[in-house]
Amino acid sequence: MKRSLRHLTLPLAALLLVGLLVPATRAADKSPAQMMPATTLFYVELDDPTKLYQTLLDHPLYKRVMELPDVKAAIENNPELDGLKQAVSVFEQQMGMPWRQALDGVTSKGVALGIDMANKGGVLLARGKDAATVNKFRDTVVQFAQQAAEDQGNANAIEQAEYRGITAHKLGEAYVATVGDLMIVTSNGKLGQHVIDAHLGGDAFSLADDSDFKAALASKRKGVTGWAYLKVRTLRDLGVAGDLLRPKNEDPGAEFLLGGVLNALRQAPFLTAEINVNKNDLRLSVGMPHDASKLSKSRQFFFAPSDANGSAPKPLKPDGTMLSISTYRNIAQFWRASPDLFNEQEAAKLAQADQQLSMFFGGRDFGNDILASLEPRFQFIVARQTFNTKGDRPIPAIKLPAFALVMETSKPELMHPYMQVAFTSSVSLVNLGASMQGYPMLMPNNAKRGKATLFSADYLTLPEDKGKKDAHMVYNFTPTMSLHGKHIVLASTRHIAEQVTDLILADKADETVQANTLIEIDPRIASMALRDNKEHLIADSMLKKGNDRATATREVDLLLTALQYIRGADLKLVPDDKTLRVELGLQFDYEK
Amino acid sequence: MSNTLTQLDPNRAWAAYEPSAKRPWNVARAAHLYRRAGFSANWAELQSAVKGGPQATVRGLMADAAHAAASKDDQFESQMNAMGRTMMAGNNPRTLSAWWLYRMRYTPSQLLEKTTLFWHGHFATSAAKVTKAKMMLDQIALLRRGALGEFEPTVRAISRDPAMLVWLDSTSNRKIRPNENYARELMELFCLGIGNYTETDIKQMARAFTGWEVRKGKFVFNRWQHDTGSKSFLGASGEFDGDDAVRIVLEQPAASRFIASKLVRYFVSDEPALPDRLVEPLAKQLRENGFVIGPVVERILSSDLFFSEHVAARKVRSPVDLGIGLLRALEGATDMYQLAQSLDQVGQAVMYPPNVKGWDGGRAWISSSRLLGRANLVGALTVGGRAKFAGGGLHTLARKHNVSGPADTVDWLLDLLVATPVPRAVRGELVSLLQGRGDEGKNLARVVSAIGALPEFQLA
Amino acid sequence: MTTTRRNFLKHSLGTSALVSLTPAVPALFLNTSAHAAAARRTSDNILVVVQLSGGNDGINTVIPHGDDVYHRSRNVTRYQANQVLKIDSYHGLHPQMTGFKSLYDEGQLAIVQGVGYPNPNRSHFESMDIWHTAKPTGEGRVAGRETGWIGRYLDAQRAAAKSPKNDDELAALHLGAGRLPLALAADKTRVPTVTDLTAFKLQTRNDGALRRTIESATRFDRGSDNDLLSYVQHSTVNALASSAQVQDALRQYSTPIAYPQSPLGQQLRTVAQLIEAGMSTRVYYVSLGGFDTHATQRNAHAALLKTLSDAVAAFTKDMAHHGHDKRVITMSFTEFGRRVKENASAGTDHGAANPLFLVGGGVKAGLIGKHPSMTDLDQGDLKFHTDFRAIYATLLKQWLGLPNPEAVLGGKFGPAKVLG
Repeated sequence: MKRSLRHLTLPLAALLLVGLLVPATRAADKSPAQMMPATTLFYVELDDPTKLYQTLLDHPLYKRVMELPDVKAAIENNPELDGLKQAVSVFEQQMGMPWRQALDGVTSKGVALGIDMANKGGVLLARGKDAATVNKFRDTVVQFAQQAAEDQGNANAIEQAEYRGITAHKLGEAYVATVGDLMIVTSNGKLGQHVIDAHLGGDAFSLADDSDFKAALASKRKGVTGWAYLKVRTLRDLGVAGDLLRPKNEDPGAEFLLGGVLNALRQAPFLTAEINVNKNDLRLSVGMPHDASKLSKSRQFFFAPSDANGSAPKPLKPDGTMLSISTYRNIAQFWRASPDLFNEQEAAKLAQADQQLSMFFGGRDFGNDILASLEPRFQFIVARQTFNTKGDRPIPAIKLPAFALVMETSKPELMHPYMQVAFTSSVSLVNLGASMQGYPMLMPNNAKRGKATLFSADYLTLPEDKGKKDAHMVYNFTPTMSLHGKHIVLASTRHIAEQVTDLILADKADETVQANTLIEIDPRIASMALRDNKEHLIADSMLKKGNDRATATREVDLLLTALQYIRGADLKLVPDDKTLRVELGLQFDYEK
Repeated sequence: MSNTLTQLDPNRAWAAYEPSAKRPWNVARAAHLYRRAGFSANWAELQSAVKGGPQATVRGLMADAAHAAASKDDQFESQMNAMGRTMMAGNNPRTLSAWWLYRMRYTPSQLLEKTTLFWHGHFATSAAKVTKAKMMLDQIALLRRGALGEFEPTVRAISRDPAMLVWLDSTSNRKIRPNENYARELMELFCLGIGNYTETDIKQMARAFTGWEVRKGKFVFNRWQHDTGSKSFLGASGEFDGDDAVRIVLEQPAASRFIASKLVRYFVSDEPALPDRLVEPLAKQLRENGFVIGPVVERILSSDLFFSEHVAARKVRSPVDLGIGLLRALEGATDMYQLAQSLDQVGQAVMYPPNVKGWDGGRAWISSSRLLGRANLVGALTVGGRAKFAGGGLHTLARKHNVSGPADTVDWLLDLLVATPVPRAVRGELVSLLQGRGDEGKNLARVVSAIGALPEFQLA
Repeated sequence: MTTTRRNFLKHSLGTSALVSLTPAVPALFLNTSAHAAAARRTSDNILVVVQLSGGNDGINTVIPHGDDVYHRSRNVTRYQANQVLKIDSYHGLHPQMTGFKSLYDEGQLAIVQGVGYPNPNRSHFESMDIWHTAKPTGEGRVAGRETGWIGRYLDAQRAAAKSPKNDDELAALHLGAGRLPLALAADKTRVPTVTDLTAFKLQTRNDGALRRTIESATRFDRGSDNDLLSYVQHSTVNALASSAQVQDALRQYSTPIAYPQSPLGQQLRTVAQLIEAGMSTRVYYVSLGGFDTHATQRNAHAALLKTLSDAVAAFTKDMAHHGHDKRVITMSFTEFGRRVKENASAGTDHGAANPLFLVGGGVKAGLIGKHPSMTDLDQGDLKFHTDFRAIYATLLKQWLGLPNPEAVLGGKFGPAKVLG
């Protein structure tokens, strides 16, 4: 008997070895998605976390911000952070390496998070450098938690659980387990079991097998820093986020800007998001499958009806532009569809506005005549104003930026006279209220600029306002309308109207961009515009937070400085045949 | 108790308070002083007052007030003015309410601000009608400058104040049909009180103010409209103008009694109302000393009566007292716009008195809905997280002053916040709240919230 | 009311202080005294005032569809006879006022025609002030201390009340966001402005221990010689009891009536809840603005009348559902009517006389008074025949139980036969 057993020892050992190795090789095979249940609703992965940490924590901008005296002071003097700092140093001691190295070690091959509605929990999978590092990390964390529990007077040992030979520790609400170089953290035991089953070679249907997920993964672009997936279909079925997906909106502005996106969201099976972070910029792109032909009739104003490829005009950028919104929208259709788009009250308000605006246009139907003769290309510009400190013209206390709305009409012969009438009526209306309220009156004038005509109005300086440096807000404005062929510009100041007109005359207004909507912001100019009104911001901070002047000033300075580090921000809405993408970009400038 | 009060010897009553074994100078009395002379003292101020003694503390309050009123090289003053000018640009009087509350919270001179608030309620003008923020700002600045100074120049200035004249529909006053509004209020509400003048006095005095007009937000003397004839009122005759009218009004004995009793009611006691013979020495002081308000206030605040048991917890705190008092005592900071609105909801919208009689005060502040509102206000600032204390939570404040342990902490809070001792059982309940499980800051907030609902907290 | 009384006792068990109520204790804002359960008297009647701001066009509200002059004077803004909700061969209601029409058919609506005052003023501010103070221009209104007709009524009630230091415990309530209307300004009584029901509850953010601490700490007898402290303590206990009771009542409140989502609809719903909760408030005041229809009147005015009609109808039906219809009257008024002839902008300009509406079980339903002549005009405006102060006097005396309305109105007016 003994001899036969001894004969078996070697093969048995070999089998055991294989048994141990197989999970290791299997583990190398399975991606996180292959280990998560198919009911996973939300999934995020970082393929190269180390690179991400480097980018973030070694980023010159991050370093610059951390060195700001206020930020430093806030961190050093914050009693709540003390506890955290202490915890980190204890951890580093026990781990035997700096926390950053530990983090790298435990996530170097990738991190993924999944949230599963069916099992009502989340699971985080991290693949580290090797099993030793991962286990050390786990052990340190468990030890740490044990000590913390003892400190609080809870002498019980940390709970443990076993499943298929793998030990999991319960820390707070989460279970932590390691298998080879894989670390599993989950809030729900069942999820953990699912992952372990899959890891040990199970064939259960996983997330990676889900058809929506497969389709989403196919659209993932190469080299992204992080990628996420949300199964919107499930959310809809569960009735979550009902408000967002409600058919009738209450905010005409939001509907105008975002309606089409929300509509697409209502029909999309899933959403994906990609994020790219590097030294110079950050790009976030959210996409969803999009079938233009399925667009509801009332939302056709958003994308062009035939090819769903309505393009926004290329933005015109007069001096000091800090915000530009350029978009394709068929406004006449939008207006006509308002009973379908909005609830009773909003629709009634719009109907009322329609009536009143028709009056301005001498009785022509605002929605059907005026709006219908506008092309579906609009641009809205906000630019910082500078004021001439010399001279008598009063400078307003609150310095507002200048605004301009750039439109095109398909019927200039019709629109020009009506716009002129509307402009004159508006000036008269303002003047009616002016004397009663004690505001200055508007004096209309007009001038030619190249082939364009500018209709303008200046506020007549009141005698007591002469030379004032903190005058009434109205002195921000010299309302102007510029007409040139199909181009109509409505502006709050003559200066911006002139600049935009010059750009139009130089034929800069005919190009389009590859996007349905494009929003561009120059935070540095916005920062300067805010700085123009620094006293107000400080006073407001003092009153809103009860800060003293010094603290309020520091806060405002911090905001203004922070904005300086962002060179630009943009938001694009790009529909193509199959996908609708919303892209957000930030460009940094840390050379300051 | 009113019997004891009426039996008090007036001279003894206003003599200087001297600490004794029966009436020691301690935290409670120091807190009482600050609660009446200002809005409330914080812990450091209380300690410093206890060390300094009553008379020195009162003298200090008066000196600070004088300095602030003169507003020379004062950093706080110039900051406030800069902020006020900024606020004016938006021309929103509501913002001014927030600004003034900010000022009350942070001023180094509580006495001056509290007295200015008194005069605002006395010469009550509402921004609801005076829609230009600058006019209201100017009027409050006027009241602040003269708050503890000579009364007559203040009244003369108020008689020309555009905000006042707009408010009383007196922007024009014509010779052929004199506008009686201002003359009536000058005598009835501002200087003499009902029963101390006749309708004829009003009609005659109105002639003295003819030609006093407001054009484009500025006072203008229109001499074509001024009635230069002889007028007879209050026993005097002559070719009086408005300034003469003010002088004659203030020469009436009723004037000094009227102002003295109002000051006494404001600083000393809502009820019982002090009898005339107790007020008389103060009225006499006004009469014989150029009608200067400061010395009378100083005498009140340093008097034996003021620190007696007849006076402690005998005033109902106005909403402003309550809100600003809580913030000052606990070194709190909050959104002043929101505070202005909350105080409006419990009955006091600063810069928006309900009418020219100002706020009635006393029991008028108490009603079911107002009591709930006051408790909810304290709750919102503490448990609701709307305020920061010493830059953090209430635990930050406690730590700053080295206060720990439930019993000591409750006693410390009661010292800071409450004008009269609470029953032992109540104190016990507060201590239990602090011993509960959970976050220290949160429990402290609950205790302060509970204190805010107590009847003792509503009194000063 | 017995349930609420039981609840009240539940909330105040163990309070020896409450059992020994002294006259110095203010009245609760809830009718929880023993008398409340007794038969309804005029002391229980409630007036709800709905102010229409801007000058409602009465001619297009109560439409003289049977009058040719109407059709000829208003080419664009008129309604055809077949569009109007007919009351009889001459009068009809605006097509959107289906709510009012059903109230009319059910005998709950009184339309008082030709209401105004001598020397009509066509300025918004001035005319509204006249309606609020019940004092024409130049008659006894003192700048800085004007009082309104309801304010003076509240002061008179207060003066007549038995307890010497009785407080103005929510005798009237203004619901809305703006400043207190002049009608409610009083010498002594303070009327609060409330936006929603949170004002009536002690907010403890679900913190049961805190609430219990506050309740027991305030109940503890102070037994001191400080009258003021005793007064405040009793008031606090009352306030907490009332707060708990209001919360109970509001929790139990339910109604099958669907109130419109408009702000007016929601405000009247709040009023209904407060009435059902047993508040001792006698006058509620709400407003609806936007009636100054100088241009392109049609749709805007229609929307406003629909809002008014739907909200008041829902409220009245709800009152009936809860058994309060005989003690609640809703009055809707506006500062002036509008001209007979429309203007060139498809709108109407400021006018004079107008209809006034009274709704509820206690009104004399139907048309009251004749429609003012469409031809015998005062500078192009309808002439009034019923002074609004007569209506005020009738409501003050016969509905709210004020023995001497002459003192409040500064003269003898009415009575008008508007109550059933």
